[in-house]
Amino acid sequence: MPEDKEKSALEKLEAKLIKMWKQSGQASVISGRHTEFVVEPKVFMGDKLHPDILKFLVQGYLANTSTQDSGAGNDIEISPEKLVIKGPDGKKMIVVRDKEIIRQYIASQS
Amino acid sequence: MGMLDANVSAAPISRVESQRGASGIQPNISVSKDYIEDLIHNKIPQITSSPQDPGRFARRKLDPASENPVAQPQVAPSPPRRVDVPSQQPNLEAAERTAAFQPPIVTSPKYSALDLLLVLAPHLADPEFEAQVVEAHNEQAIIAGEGNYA
Repeated sequence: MPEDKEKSALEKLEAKLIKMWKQSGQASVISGRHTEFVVEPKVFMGDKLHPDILKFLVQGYLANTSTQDSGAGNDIEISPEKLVIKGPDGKKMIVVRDKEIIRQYIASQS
Repeated sequence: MGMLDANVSAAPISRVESQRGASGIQPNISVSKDYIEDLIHNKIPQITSSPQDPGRFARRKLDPASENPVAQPQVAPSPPRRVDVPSQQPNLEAAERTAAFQPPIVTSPKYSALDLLLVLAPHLADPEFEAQVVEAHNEQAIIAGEGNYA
């Protein structure tokens, strides 16, 4: 059934995202006496991404891209207050106001 | 028709009169008219309870000149209290708190999660992840197309 196929695809994608997120070291671990619990975020919140997952992906995107990549269709506008990632149609797709992310990106570009 | 010999005779009901009523005992107190006049004009000292010795009575002679034995202290009205209100200054701390409440990363409502992943995935240096995103996006498009026909 197509519905099962869609579920399996999203589940695979969700599992992959959680695995990447755990490997990034941002997972929260609750240690008990005899066991540990790893708090996993819910990746898809309706039609949106979980904010922690989105932040992780944006950090990876900015770490692997540069202003020279803007010719591929994705443009990045940066100012001390915010960093804007534009979509393929040139409209604002993601606005980053995290000062640490902006500082890291400026440092990587200089 | 036979007659019944009833040896029952009704006893006379004794009337019990209250000895406490007004018709009973006459008060053995006689008050002269002059005493009442003196009592009205406060010429006779009254017996009151002493607050220092509640168990005993003390005599207190009322001063007929003072109608109000408990004098109220005369207090001058105080001027209205002045409260210094600080002038309206821009609350920078509140502004910083408001800025802190803003989510650090905001996405456009135009783009769904898969749209964002399609843009971000090629730059994450993970071909497997990129392939999964494309597969999920294609399946979503197929499902949406079937939904339109249904």
